[in-house]
Amino acid sequence: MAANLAVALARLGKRVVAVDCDLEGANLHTSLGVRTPQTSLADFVSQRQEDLGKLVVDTATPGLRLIAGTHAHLGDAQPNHLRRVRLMRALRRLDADYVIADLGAGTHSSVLDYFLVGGEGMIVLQPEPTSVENAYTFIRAAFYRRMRLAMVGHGVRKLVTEAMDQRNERGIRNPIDLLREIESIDPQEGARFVETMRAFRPSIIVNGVRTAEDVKLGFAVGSVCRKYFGIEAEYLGYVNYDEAARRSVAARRPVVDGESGSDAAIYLQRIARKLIGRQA
Amino acid sequence: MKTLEVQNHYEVLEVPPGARLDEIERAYRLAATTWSEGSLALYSLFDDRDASLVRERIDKAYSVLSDEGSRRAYDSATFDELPQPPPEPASAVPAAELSTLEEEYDDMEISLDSALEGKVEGVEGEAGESEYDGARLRRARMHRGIELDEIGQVTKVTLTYLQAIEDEAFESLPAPVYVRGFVTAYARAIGLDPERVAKSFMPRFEEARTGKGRGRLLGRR
Repeated sequence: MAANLAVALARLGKRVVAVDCDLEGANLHTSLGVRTPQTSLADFVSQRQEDLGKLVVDTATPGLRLIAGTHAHLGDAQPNHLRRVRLMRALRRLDADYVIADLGAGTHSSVLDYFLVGGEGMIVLQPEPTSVENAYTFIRAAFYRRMRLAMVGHGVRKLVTEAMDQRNERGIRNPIDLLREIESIDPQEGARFVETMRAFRPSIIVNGVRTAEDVKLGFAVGSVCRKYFGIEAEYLGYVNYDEAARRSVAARRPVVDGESGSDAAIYLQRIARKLIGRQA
Repeated sequence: MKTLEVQNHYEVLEVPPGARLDEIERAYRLAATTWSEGSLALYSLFDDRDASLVRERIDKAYSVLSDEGSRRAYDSATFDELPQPPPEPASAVPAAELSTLEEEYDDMEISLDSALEGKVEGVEGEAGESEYDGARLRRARMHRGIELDEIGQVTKVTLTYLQAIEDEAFESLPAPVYVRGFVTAYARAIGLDPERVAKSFMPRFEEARTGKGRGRLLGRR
């Protein structure tokens, strides 16, 4: 998805840098058809290179460059807080119209931080229970982490931490319960909570769509997020299950590049256009 | 943030106050599916007891807002100023104003309305010069949230033929006179201009059938 969106944006004339932040399972370079680069994000994380711009390599697509995630050592994937902050600052300073960061799976704090620092956090899910569960687990973790960082008072922060445990003793079952508790302790923090919540707007992409019912899943997930978290999760688009996508992976070439007339490519290009339209 | 208990009926159905009746009906259909028992979108977040509370609230909101009299009474009791209906939807944009390049994008733009509504009224972005092949018909159908068997039920065309149209498995289709009927029925069922679709699709089919472009067309599969 990251590789295809990056190529689609570049083909629409944008200057794009794709960054493989998944240092434990780096493969963005393969998806983009780039032979294992010698420089990588791991060089920045392990402080071998302080200038992120020097780690950028060209790809076959004009306008698209890459920072690979190859050659990482054990521990690079979860850099300490200070290093993470530096990386996030450096990502923001990259010379590009769009920086597409491909994140690893799971809900480790580094993944959540990379997700939260981006202007547009996108969550890709498939129309199957395991994937929907993973998506909600991720949204939940990112949501509570964002809220905890926004709260000032120690007592309220502690409360958010407690709420993250779904079996907490206070009986806080969802963000609405949590908000009620916060408001009862500190109305000002309650107002801050609501304000932060409004700014937390992840996007949803449904991948591997086979039926019209699958297409509607994005709307349904948006509605569930609204009612459960009180957040707006925009449905950015869907991509069908397509043999062309499978062939492209085997050919190590993004489907929007190799099979640009396929349904999958058309859907991906539409998502890219929508992203550009949203920035305009 | 308002909890479900204190949300007004419009907020529960996620429509603006003053929404048209058809918008309310569409929103209700989506909500009913989303919050139905065993719905995939609820998985791991809502158990059925909690979901049934939301369902009750949604049913209540719909029962009030779908009846003109009860809605009017509710509005005057809820709002100081009566809500105004929103402007007409943007589907009235003349198709000719959309460039061919933009066309597919506009056509495919996701909207709650079109994803829930079987038929799309008015002029749409599909007009113009680009070709209606099987893949494009399938994309248009998916975009409207319509399953192939629903088209089968409406048109009485067998699923095998409908699938063959989308897949452009021309060798599996009967004589052109029948296929034209199937294609126009398909187009009508998803709210496209049947004539325009047939005019675009039939030459592809006939070309493949006469063998002229057989290699090219079969090569697409």
